[in-house]
This record gives sequence, structure tokens and C-alpha cells, in this order.
Amino acid sequence: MNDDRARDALTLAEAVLAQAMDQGVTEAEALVMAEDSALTRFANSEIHQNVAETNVVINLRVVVGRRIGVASSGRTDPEGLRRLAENAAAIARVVEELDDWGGLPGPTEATAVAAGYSPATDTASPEFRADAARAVIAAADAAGVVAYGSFATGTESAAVANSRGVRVGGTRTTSQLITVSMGPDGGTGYAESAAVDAGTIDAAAIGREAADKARATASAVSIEPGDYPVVLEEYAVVDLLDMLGYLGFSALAVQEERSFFEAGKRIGSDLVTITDDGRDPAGLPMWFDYEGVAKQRVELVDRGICRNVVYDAQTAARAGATSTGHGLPAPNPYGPFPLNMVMAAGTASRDDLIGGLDRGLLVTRFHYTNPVHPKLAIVTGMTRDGTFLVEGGQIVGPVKNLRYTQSYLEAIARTVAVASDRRTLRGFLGGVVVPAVRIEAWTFTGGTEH
Amino acid sequence: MGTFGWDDEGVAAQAVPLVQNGIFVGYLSSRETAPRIGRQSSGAMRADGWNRIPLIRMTNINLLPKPGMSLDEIVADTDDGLYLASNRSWSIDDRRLNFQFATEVAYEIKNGRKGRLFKNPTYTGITYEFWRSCDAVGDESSYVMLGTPNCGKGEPGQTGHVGHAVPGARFRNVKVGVGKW
Repeated sequence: MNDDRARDALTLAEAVLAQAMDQGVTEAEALVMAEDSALTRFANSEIHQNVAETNVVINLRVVVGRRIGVASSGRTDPEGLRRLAENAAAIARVVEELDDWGGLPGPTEATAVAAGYSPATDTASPEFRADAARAVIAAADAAGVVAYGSFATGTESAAVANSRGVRVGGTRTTSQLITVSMGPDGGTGYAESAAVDAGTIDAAAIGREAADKARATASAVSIEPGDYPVVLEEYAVVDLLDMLGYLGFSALAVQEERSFFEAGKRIGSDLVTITDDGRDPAGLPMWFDYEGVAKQRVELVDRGICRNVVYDAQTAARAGATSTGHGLPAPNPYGPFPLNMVMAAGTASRDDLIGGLDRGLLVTRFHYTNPVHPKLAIVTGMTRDGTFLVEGGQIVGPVKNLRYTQSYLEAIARTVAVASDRRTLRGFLGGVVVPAVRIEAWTFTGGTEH
Repeated sequence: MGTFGWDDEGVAAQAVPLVQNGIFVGYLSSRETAPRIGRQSSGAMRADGWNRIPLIRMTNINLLPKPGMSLDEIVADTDDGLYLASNRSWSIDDRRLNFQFATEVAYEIKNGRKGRLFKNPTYTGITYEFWRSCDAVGDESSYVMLGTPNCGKGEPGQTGHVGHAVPGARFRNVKVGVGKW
């Protein structure tokens, strides 16, 4: 470990751990999450808000026999640490025993990923973010539309110390620029980029993409709901991966029998390969989880075949497996989660994807998605900020947004083309690397007025 | 769950009519937004912690009971319909028009009596069309406080406690079902 902030976080975690063990507990785990983040927001083509936050959260999990207590605090002074330890121990002594408690994880080798940290992001100033906002707004001005959005930059240091010898810490950076442009005739367009290095985000290009789409979606017309072949842009594909990860690729979902997962079963076409890889420099790397376990690369879907799920310490113990480094902060009712999903690139260009639609829809992104039937991965949501009718391989014009009710499993099973280019974007909780795709059929079940 | 004394701009929590007898009359608002429409803040600006900027959030958004029929009497007054209970899935578009909700259960109503149980029920519509189709609202006896502790909004994200006190109600000509699973 070669960064001072991670070392400071680990020193604090060790101090918390010592306080916890003084309470006479069986096991203890201290997680320290420190952040230094900022966000510049713009609306009506003006910056109207800057927010910045320097914060530290200490999460303490203690075990008394098989009883588990968790408490958290923002206090780092000795009295604050003592009270935190007392609270966690007091909770542990009054809750019910966890019959199948598997114990805290032991040490693993979690070497840092150098590509996970960028000095440019770490030192990003309000002026730096304002320059990016200016570039987005200039692109909107040039197109005669209005820009809205935000540019967030942040540095996160995390450290875990537990009574089984785990000592790990690290510092990473993330950044995200998002914008929605709105045109005079009801058109809207969206663009986004996420990166470890905020300096690599091409704000002008993001601005042009959203502005051009806002112009192109003006005066959209209604189209009848029904089954259409679709090209999903990367922003929409993020939701496919997030939902599949949430609904199916968590070991807890399997153990609670609410997952579609079945090792060896074909769920996708040959073109679909999805991994979770916290070390992939193309994403937003994180090399250990919130239990201090080194993240493993986990093959979730290999050329359409279900391969593995992700584990945290408890679900791994229950299954007689080893944690893959996908634990979330305790208490965690959601179970392990694939935070760094990566979909393999294909060979198609954007023109190939759209050119392959005889009559179908090009979808920019989805909005407000929610599971309707978790085990079948049936999800409902709306299209938003750029939905287009395509005929004869050519974009005909914009259509009003549509509601869909679609099995995401069927979607990956009927994926017939995958783009060679990919984008790094933010998912539910982590970074996602995704290509655009073409899918043979997508079920739209309703329409709206814009 | 959406109850508080003062919002995070120091405005006292208050009851604000939003819809009266089917007519849209009011807004949730803040000190910044209310003057723009010639009103005073409704006291709805709330942050979920010290490190977040307050946003206009739902408070307790309630459908008031209407004297006349209990929920059981509304069922008894329905010849052919469905009784939907316990929301479990929700989605609505960015202008809050097209919605689709799923519930845990649905009972068939025939001639005023609940009968067969259906699984995976859903219902969908356009917000104002749906509310215009409301032709019965339950009385005080079926009025219950519900809500959610994790209503999401904002960037960076914030989580809000939201209450919904509601009686059962009847809506006509609602589209139900999007598939059989």
C-alpha cells in the first residue's frame, strides 16, 4: 500500500478493531470508507450548483458467539470509537443467533490496481468541472437546445481490518459526466461518460451527442406498442447487466431460490459473455470488497452459458465455497453483488447494428426500470431521451417513448449482434463496461405522450 | 412516515391541497419555487442528511376518505372487476404519465363477491386518465397509513420517508395484465 489516505484509513480501522475486541466480542471487523467528492450541476445551460463533501464513515461489525451486531459512525475521536464499539457489542448481545454463521473472512492477497487511481480526478477543481460544463453547454448552444446535467469527481479510500488478520486498504478515483439536452419541439437527448481519469472525458463530444439527439427527437410521433427488433445503445445495455446481476448472479438470490441461475444452462446467445472483474482497467476498478476480500474475476455468462455467481463470506460459507470478493457493507440484506460487470465486445459497428434492422427501434436508454417477475428476469420500464424508428436499415425518425415489459433473459438469448466499441458507464453501484447490441425482439407494452 | 415538524428551509410542515374534487389546485413547493408561481412554500424541502442539499420531496401524500361506502361495500357494489392488493413493483415515465404497477395478489370480483385468486397481477395507464376513472373512494373505516422508507430522488441520491394514507378505491376501465407467467 503506497498511499497515505489508505494507510490512514487502515490505521483508523485498526483502532476501531482494538476498541471492539476490548468489548470481549468473539470476532470483529472494522470498515472505514473515506471520500472526498464534488459535483458541479448545470440546468438551463447555466451552472447553478456546486457541492463538495469530505466525509468518513466507520462501519463496525462484531460477533458474539453467533450473534452479529453492526453500528456505524462518523466520529473518529477516541470517545467516538469507544461508543461505536459499545453500541455494536450491545446490539450483538441482544439479537438472535445466526444458525449458519460462517465467520469473518481471512486474509487474501489484494494487490492494488494502479489504473484505478488518477491524480487528475483527485485534484479536479471546480474550474475543471466548470470547463467541462462549458463545453457541454457550448455544444447545446450550437445546436439550439438547452443543457442540463452534472459532472462528479471523487476520491474514495477504503480500509478493512478484522480479527482474523485481514488488513487491506486502497484509494481509487471515479468521475461521471451526464447530460440531458432539451430542444424547443419536445426533443431530448442523453449522453454520459464515466472514467477513473476525469481528464479523459471528452465533454464537448458528450455535449454534441446529447444536443444532436435532442434535435433529432423533436416532434416525435406515436408508434403502436408490440414486438420490435431493437438496437440498444450502451446506456440501455447497462440496465440489462445491472438487473441480471441483481436478480440472478448473487449467491444469496440462488440460495433463496429467487434466481434464474443454473450452472451450465444456456441463457444467452453465443455472442453474450459477461464477467465481473474489479481489476479490469477499462472499468472503474476496485480490488477488494467491503469485507476486505480480494476481488476475483468471475465469469457469469460465457458465450451464452451460465457459469458462476458471486459470493461474499457468508454465502460462500453456506455453499462450501470461497468468497469471490463481492461483499457489501454490513448489514447487507442484498447479499453479494457484481459491482464491476463487463460485457465482451463483438465485431459490429454502429452502422452494422442499425443496418440490420428491417423495421425496428433504436433505443438510447431506459428509465425507471423495475422487476415484474424476478425469477424470469421480466422487467418493466420506459424508453427515454432518444427512441427512433428504423426501416430498411435507416433511421426514419423519432417516436414517442414506449413502455416495455420484457424478460432480460430472453433479450440476451435473442442478441444477434454486439458492437465492437464499448463505453464505461455507471451502473447501480459500480462501473460497467458495455457495448451496444441488436436484439431480435423486444416487447413494448404501452405508450406515453412524449 | 412523511411526518415532520419543519422542513429543511425552516418552513413549518403543513397540509396543502393538491387535488380537490378532481381538480388540480396545488403544488409541493419550496422557498425558491413557490414565489415563481405567486405562492408561499408548502414546506416540502427536505434533505436526507447533513451532507445533502434539500429537495422538494413528497411528504404524506394522502387520498382522503369519502363518507359513503366502506371498502367492503365498494366490493359489494362491483359486478365485474378485480381486487388488487399490496404493491410490489412500480414504474412511471419521466413526466409521470405512463405507469405500470404490479401487486402481490388479485382476486376476481363477480357480482359483488371476491372469488378466484390470480397471480402476477399488473395494471397500467396514463396518470390523469386513471384518476379521472375513479368512481368510488372508501370511507374512514378503510383509511390506513402506508408509505415507503426509501423513496429515491436526486443526484447525489437521497432517500426519503414518504407516507400515503389511503382508503381503498375503485377505478373503471383499467388495463390489467401484460403477460402470463
